[in-house]
Amino acid sequence: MAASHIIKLNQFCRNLTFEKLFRGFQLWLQQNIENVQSENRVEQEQNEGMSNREEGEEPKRKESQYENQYESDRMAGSILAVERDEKAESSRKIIPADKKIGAASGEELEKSQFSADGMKIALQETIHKYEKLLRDCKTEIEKKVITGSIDSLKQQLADLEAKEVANDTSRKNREKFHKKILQALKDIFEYYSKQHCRVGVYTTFDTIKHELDILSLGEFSFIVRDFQLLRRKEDRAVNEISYSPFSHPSSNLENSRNI
Amino acid sequence: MISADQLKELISNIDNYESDLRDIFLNNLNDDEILNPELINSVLDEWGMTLGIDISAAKEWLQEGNENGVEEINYQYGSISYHQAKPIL
Repeated sequence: MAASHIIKLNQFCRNLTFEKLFRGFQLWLQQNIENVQSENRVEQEQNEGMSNREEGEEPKRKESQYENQYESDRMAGSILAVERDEKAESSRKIIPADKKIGAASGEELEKSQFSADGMKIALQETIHKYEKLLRDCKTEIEKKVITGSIDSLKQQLADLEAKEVANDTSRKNREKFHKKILQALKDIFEYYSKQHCRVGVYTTFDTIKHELDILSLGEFSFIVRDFQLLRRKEDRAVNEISYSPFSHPSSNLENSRNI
Repeated sequence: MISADQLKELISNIDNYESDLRDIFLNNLNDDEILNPELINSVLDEWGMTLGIDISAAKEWLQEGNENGVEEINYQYGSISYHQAKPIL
């Protein structure tokens, strides 16, 4: 029995060409039109019947609808008014006067200054300032002091840029490494998860996909055996949970012990 | 739900979408140029996305190929043990 199914599956997969699937799809579309048309007809008939029955009741319902709407609006209006008052009071109480408008922009500025870009901009601006001062200088001592500080600032700027580049490269390397690990794990998972598939007569394409996308306990045990994950003694310890249906789940976990 | 007019329009224009649908099908083939059973689902889903329609009814219909009297398209298959049918995966 099983052998015939395997042969059937092999044939099915080998013979499944685009043309066949496409032809089947076209046939489904054509057959579906008839179904949709008949459903639409039934719906229309039902709607017509419903509308005929509702015509007599409509005026009464409209009146009650308006009444309900008025009542709900009144309630909503009062709730909104209370909320508005509460908000206004809380804002008056909590927010100090000096932090209302200017504070947010001040904080943003501070944050940007502390970031690397902010530091770079600040350094460049100070270098420009010092260069302007240098042009106006008259005595030699002043010139010496300013050129020294400009050099040190330029050095700091170069260090900052070098650090940024180093950080970028290390981050990229880390990301690459992480991606490689994930890809390798994915390959292993896919290889083992597609080892077996339990499907029956009424299996759908969805269930096949689901079956082949999950890793069963048996397949997991193959991974454990092939990669020798239980080589060390510590890894072999399994937590046995003494389960009681009447106690809290956390207490069940506390009762667990190593075997 | 898709209307009858939309379906009619889709059938008349389906040949325009054929190349797109073919690309989707070919992209999902394995190295041996066979479509793995678990990928039939995603191929049909992608077709549905391309055409802008709900494909779940089509999946059911295609699986009942025998009952629909479509002899040249036999999609239905019985219980299968993939363990022995491994080479095709």
